[in-house]
Amino acid sequence: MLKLNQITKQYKAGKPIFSNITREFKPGKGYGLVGPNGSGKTTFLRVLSVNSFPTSGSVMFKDLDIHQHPVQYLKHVGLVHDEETLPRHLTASELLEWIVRSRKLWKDGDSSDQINALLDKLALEERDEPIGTYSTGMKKKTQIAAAFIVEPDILIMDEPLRGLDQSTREIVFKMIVEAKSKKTLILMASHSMRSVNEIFDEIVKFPL
Amino acid sequence: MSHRSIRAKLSKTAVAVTALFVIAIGLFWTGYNSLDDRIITLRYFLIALTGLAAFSTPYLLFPDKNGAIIQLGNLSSSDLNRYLSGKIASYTWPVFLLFGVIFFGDLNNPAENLFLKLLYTSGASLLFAGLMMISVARYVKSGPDSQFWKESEKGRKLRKNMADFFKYPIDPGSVPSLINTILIVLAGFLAIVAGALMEQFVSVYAEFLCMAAVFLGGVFTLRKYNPTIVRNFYSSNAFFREFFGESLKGEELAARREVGQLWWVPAPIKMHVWQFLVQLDRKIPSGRVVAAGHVLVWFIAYQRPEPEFLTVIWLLFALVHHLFILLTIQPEMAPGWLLRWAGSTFIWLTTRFWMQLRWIVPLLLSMNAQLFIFGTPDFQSQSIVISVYIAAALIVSAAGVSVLKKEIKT
Repeated sequence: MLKLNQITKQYKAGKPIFSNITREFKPGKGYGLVGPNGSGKTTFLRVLSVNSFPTSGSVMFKDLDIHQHPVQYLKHVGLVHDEETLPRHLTASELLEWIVRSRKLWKDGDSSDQINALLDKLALEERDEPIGTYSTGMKKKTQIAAAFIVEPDILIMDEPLRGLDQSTREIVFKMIVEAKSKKTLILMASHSMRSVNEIFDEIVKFPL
Repeated sequence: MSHRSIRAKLSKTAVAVTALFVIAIGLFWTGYNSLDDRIITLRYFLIALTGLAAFSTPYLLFPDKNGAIIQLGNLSSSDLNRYLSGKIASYTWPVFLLFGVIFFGDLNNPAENLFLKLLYTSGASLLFAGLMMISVARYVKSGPDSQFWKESEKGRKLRKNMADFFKYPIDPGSVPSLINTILIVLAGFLAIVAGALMEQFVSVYAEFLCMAAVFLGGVFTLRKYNPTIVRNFYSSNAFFREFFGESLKGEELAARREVGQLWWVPAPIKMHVWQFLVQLDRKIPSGRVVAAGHVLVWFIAYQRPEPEFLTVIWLLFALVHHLFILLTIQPEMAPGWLLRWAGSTFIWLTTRFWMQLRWIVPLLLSMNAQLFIFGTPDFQSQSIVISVYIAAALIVSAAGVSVLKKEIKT
C-alpha cells in the first residue's frame, strides 16, 4: 500500500536522520515505531504525512508519489500529529463537521449523529466548547476523533495515547484494532508496551 | 553574554516588501501635495491611528505565544519592557516609516521646508509612540481588574443590570478594556485637536509640544506602572487567554453560523470559508470593527476634504479589511498540518480570497451613499477602490499560501 524507495532524510548535509530506506507497509497491518527520543520517529511520520519532504527517494501510495500529489494522497490518510495545535476558536464538533464536509462525506442528519457517536465513545463531553479551552488530553481526543471520522485507509499517529487517561486509552486501542480489521494500515509511534502486543504486527526500531 | 531575543526575527524579504509597499502608498497618497495638505492628511491619519491603537493593542499583546518562555526565563521588569517594546515595534514600524514618507516623499519640492517636515515627522512619531506606550501600560495593567469584574459577584450583578438596561449582554470582564479604549482615544483626539488649534492661533512649535506631551505622558505612564509590570503581565496574559477562549461559551455559540447560510460561496470551498468565518467571528467582532471603520471614513468625508484625498482614505480602508486574512494565517486559527491535510494550497488561496468578498457590498453601499450626499467618490474612484480591494485580497491570500508552504520541513 505504501512503498518507500531509497528514502533519505537529513536536515544538515552529511548528517542523515535515516538513509536509503526501502520497504513496504501493507494494508490491515499495524506497524509500531519505537526508539529513544530524537531517534527519528517523528521525522519519519512527518515524511509519510507530507509534513516533511525527503532529501532523496520517494514514497508511493498505490501508483501515486505522495510528495508530488499530496492532496490526492492525504484524502486517504487519518492523522494524529505530534503537535496539539488545533484551531482554537472552533469546537470539536465543528472541527469534525468541517473535516467530514471537506472530504465530501457529509450527509445531513447522519453525519451529525456519527460525529456525536464518535465523541461519545471518546467521552469528550465538551464537544460544543471552543478547542482553545481544552486540556491536553481533550485536544488529543479531538485529534483522534478527527483522524477516525473520515474512516481512512492509512492511520498515521505520533504518540496518540500521550496525555490520555487509562479508560480512554482502552477505547482508542479498540478503535485502532477495529480499524485494522477493516484493512486500515496503522503507522504509530508509541511508548506503550501494551500496544506492542495488541496492535502491532511488526516493530520498526529507531534509529533506522 | 550576548542578548538573545525570544521573539521570532522578521524576515528580511518581508521587511523589504513592506517598506517598499509603504513608500509606494505614501508617495501615491501625498507625493504631489503641498505642505499644508500633508499636515492636514497627517492629522486625519493620526486620528485613525488613535482609534486603531486604542482598539487593537490587547489583540497585539495577548495572549502572548512566548508566555511560557517568559515565565521560564523569569524576565525582570526591564527585560519584559524591552520585550514588549520590541513586539510592538515589530508591528508598528511601517507607521513611523509612513510618517517620514508623508513629509519627505515630496515629489514637487523635495528640498523645501525641510525643518518643518522634520518637525512634523518627529511630532507624529512622538505622538504615536506615546499613545502606544500609554496603551501598552494600561492594557498590561488591566488584567487583575478585568479578572475581578469577570469572576466576582459584583461583576455578575453588573452583567445582569447591563443586560436588563441595554437588552444586550456585556461581559463585565471587558469593561476595563472598554475604559482603556475610551481613555486612549480621548488622549489622542485631544492632543491632535489641541495641536491643530495651537498651530492656528499660536505657532507650529506649540502643535509639536502638544504631540511631544503625549510622548511624555507615555513615558510617565510606563514608569508609573513599571514596578508591577511583571505581575500584571502574567495576570493580563492569563486573563486574555481565558477571555479570548472562554468568552465563546453561551449566547455566541448558540447563535453560531451554519454552513448552509453561506449561499454566496461556491460549494467546493463553502466548508472552508465557513470554518474561517466561525473562527474570525469568535476571535474579533469583525462586523463591528468594519462598521467602526465606515463611521471613521464618514467622519473624514464630513470634513469635505479633496475628492482625491477621500479616495485614498477609501483605498486605505479597503486595504485594512485584509488584516482579517492575516488573522487566518496565524497557527492558532490555521495549523499548517491541518490545512495541508484538509485541502490544497489552491483551495486555501481561493478560500481566503472568497472570504473577503463579504465586505464588498457594504463598501459599495457606503461609497455610493457618500456619492449621493457629498458628491464623491465618483464611479471611477469607486472602481479603483474595488479593483485594489480585490487585487489586495488575492495578494494577501497568496501570502497565506506562501506561509503554509514554508512551514513544511524540507
